Amino acid sequence: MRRFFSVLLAVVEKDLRLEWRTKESLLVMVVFALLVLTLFSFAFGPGGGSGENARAVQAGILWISFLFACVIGLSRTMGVERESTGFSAMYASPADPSALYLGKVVSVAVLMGIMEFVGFAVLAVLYHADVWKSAGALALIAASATLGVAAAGTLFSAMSARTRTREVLLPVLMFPALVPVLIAAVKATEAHLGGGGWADSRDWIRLMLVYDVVFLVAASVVFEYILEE
Amino acid sequence: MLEAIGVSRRYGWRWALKDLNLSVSPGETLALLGKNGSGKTTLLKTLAGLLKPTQGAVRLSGQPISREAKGRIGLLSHEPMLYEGLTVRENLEYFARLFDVEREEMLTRVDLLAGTLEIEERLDEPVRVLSQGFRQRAAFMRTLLHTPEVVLLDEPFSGLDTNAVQRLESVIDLMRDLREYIVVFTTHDLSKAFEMAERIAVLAGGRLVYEEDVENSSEEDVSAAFDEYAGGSA
Repeated sequence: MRRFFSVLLAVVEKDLRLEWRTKESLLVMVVFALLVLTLFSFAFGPGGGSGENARAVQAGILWISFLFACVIGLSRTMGVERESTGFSAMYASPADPSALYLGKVVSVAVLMGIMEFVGFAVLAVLYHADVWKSAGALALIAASATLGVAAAGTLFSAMSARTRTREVLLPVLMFPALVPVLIAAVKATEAHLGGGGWADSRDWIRLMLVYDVVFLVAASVVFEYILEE
Repeated sequence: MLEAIGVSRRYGWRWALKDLNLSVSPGETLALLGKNGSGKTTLLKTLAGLLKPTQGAVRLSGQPISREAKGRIGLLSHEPMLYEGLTVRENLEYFARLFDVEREEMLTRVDLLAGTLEIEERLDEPVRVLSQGFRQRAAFMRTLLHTPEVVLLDEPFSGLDTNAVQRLESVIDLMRDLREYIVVFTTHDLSKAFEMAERIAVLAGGRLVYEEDVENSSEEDVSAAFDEYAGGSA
């Protein structure tokens, strides 16, 4: 177990150190999410529109912007592995592929978490959303959804990284698989932005957690075959 | 002992290796010669467990190349397998953790290898600013960091100046003095093969067409094998 976590942490440290030096992925992710949120705020007006659907629209825009930004970030993160033949180096080592995979998932989740923090702050300012009142619940929703997106995104971006059509292939593979997480994240976020309680979001959060566990376990098992040349 | 037993490897419709049998004993250095596309790199990657044979098997000490067995193998590939944004030292620390090398041990080995390869002053520089020669030395350090029993070197001297070649050779000599390593290296340099190896093998079209101990062979014999099977000189 010590060895498992040592490898996992080695991958996380390496990825975050590389990101800290270049800021290539995080910067692009944050800027992209900000652009989408800002553009839609102009389209729908301050407050993200009016009426019953305002909160649903806000939640939808928020998670769509996060998802698209994540695709850009994943492409860049996996680009580093491709350019450095990092996957081959991983596969040539005796390290547990599950630890390597989970290390990549954690790295991606950390970057997404930073981007989402900025995104929620922008939502509060541009859409007048009451984010702070439900900060705890929204943090839990974001964490559950982020884990699912990072789990699926890491798997599919690693699968597509060695293909010539990787930029096109990644969203084509990833988006359909993320439909359950996206719906659950939007619904749960909408409930809390609209002043709802745990009763309104509990089932959606459960759905995301089940998805996270299933995907993390399944992807950990198959990651070894993805590393193979 | 490292063995390839009836190994074939196919990429799509093309066979890169065809029914290849080879064995290398501990303490032995084998030079693999062959023209571009003859299957040398594919064979090294297959021996390293990076590629699975389409047919046949690779065995180390009689066992298939499992994940654990990869910890006993060091591969120097065409690609340096180093992260350009990290320093040489950070790269080595990362790979030491993947290969489960204790930190103290790793520091000792880094000092020893860096001194022998004359790269001490570049250890804290990012890989991206290093010249080809220093990248190759750094990659060589990564290959040997976990003191593998089997060292597979894919054209280790290509693109290097005389000093760099001498440094790499001195490390290989040092290794052989310390322990009974299995060393397999590919090269296009016939004289280098005769200088460093105990046995020479020639690949052509994915098949082993010549295999002989250096003491029973000559550069003329190997050149003749090239002329006969590979259609030209090494």
